[in-house]
Amino acid sequence: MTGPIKGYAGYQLRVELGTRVSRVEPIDAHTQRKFLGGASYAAKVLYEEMPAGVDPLGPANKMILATGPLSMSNIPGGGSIMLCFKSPLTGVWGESRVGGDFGPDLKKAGFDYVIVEGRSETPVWMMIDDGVVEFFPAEHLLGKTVAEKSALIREQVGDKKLSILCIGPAGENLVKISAVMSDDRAAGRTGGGAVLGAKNLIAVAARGKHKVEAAEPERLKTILRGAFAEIKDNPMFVGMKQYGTIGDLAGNDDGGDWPSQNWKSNSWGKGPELFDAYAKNNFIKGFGCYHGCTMACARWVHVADGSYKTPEHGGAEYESISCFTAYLLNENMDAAVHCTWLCNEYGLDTISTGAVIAFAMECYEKGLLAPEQLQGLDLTWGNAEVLPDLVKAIALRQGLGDILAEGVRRAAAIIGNGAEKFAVHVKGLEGPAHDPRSGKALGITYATANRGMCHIQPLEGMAWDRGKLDWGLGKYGVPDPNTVERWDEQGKGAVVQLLQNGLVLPDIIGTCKFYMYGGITIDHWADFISALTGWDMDGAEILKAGERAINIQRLFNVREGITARDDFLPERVLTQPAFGKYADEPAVVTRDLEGMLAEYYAARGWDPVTGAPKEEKLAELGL
Amino acid sequence: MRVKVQAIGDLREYFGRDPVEVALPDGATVRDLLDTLDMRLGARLPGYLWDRETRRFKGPVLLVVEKKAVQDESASLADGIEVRIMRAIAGG
Ligand code: SF4
Repeated sequence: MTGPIKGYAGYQLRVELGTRVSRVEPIDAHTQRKFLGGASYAAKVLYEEMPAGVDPLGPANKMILATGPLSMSNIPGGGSIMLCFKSPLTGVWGESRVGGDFGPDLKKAGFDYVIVEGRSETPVWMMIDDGVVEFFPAEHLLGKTVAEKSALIREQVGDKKLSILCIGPAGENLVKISAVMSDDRAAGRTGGGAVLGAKNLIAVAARGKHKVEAAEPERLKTILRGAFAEIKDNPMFVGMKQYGTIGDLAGNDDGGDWPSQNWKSNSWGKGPELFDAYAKNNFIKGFGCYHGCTMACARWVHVADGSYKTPEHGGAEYESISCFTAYLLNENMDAAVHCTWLCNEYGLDTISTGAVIAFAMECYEKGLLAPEQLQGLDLTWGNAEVLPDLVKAIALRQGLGDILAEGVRRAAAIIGNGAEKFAVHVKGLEGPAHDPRSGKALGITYATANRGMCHIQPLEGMAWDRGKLDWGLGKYGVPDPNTVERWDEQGKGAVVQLLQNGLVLPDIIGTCKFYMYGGITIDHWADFISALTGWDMDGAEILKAGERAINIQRLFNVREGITARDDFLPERVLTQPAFGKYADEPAVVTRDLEGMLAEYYAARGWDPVTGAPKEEKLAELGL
Repeated sequence: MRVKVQAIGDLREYFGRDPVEVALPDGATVRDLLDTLDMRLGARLPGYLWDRETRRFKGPVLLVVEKKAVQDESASLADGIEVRIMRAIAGG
């Protein structure tokens, strides 16, 4: 090879924290074309390099920071990076995406991937500066919030714009629902914060002047210009820019897609007034989470005064706010904005934190919490006052917070007395704020997504079935969603596997998924990658790479003991809503999950009992 | 002139499953269409979806012509076109 492959920085950095030895390894074109990057290449590395049964919080677990070929600020959605590891929350495949400039800046520092191994004896933070790695003591950062840590690191280096990934106190305390933060943006799900905390790696910063070379720079410029012009009037693009993700609050409540009171219902009826309160009192402006984002769905918000006074910050995302309102029957939007900000600053996943609190409130309602566990906390549904203290208690593992810090599955096992019946999770990951009682495809995606009941991979089930989007996948076999009734079940298993193959792509090519909602299709992605790398890929080839990614992650999970029995939906989700608009609508309840999953496995080429990809499928995918 | 108005997804619950034909004076604008929709349907649209005072959609619900969001209320509509009413759903 005569130099780095086009379109990539061309190298991965391997860091062993115990010895502080780092190695620069070239990446090869054949492997990259096959896996592309992000959560796909990282799955290959983790599957090949890490044996089954590794303790997620032990030194043998690896944390991979993985960009994709399109993680560049001139690409639609290119401010993106994936964190991949074995999850301490679920014990299986763990991944989490974060927006912001860290992804593009890592490439500028000279690397597509960072593979973090081992464990440092003492707390450190790591600087990747134009190809050079340096470690700094981090004792002084311990216990500090994310904003405080980031400010101290930037001050130390004298670089106000330095891109940083860091953990909060929750990650330091090995909270299983802890996040890795990039300022206001979160790699929230599956407990990556605890993985870094266990490694004593408190933060990673990256910068540099390396330029990724495109194979056909002029062509790339032209097609990018065309794509940006094409999407700017796309209704989804316009809607996201104007309203952000939180704009869905009222519509999702009305559409039965708003899990309420720990999933007792799929609607609550308070969405419109909560959205109005947010628009009036909390919203300041929209912004892009990385330099170059034109969709700019991120929201700049605050609470001006009162007991939930909160400084201006980027936040109030749909999922986060839903988990701190409807999940808890909390009608106080200021409290929700405040608590989601607290989660960010303490380094907690907003979704799982809202979910474990909802679970705790139900335990309280049912009298399952002992006085010594409660320590005087009033966990009545809707009690906003208790929320900030409880969020902090989870991050600091104090009192009841220590149990909730384990996530709902373990917390239910500790509390016992039937609590597992209303611990809403799949594969150990707490459910987010979309409800399959709004459309059946979502149930299949929840049951089968590799990281569990997450809000990223499963989204497309909801958005195809109820939102009637097809992301240009019609030509690859996805039926026109306008011909599909959202309550129907038959045929959806086969569709879901196609949706998953297509919509996993942003997480492997290094972009923000919302651009696919805003009009960028897989054919656009294929064009961008081709102009960058010179590979001449088409939509079908990258769709195949999406399928390969899902399969190798599944292989990882199967090796950790996952079978078809782990592809389930929690009982709550399969139950008639107890209140709200759909309480008397029997069609919302899934009648035949097994039948839908049988269709899904057949379409996937997976064994319906073991849940493992069959030999023919693996051969077809070159795995 | 006539335009067809078709709601997408669960918005059909309020606007009807089939496209609604709306008769408008020649040279009618998006504003005229919104006024007509208000007269015909305004009373039964939920408050979170439709603002009766401004006669506009509330939240991320958009009028779409040929896959593009129509934001300029003074834009003229052409005879025979289909106007879709669509909710911007992403919610992640
Ligand atoms: S669309 Fe939103 S989430 Fe995606 S990159 Fe832009 S601001 Fe970030």
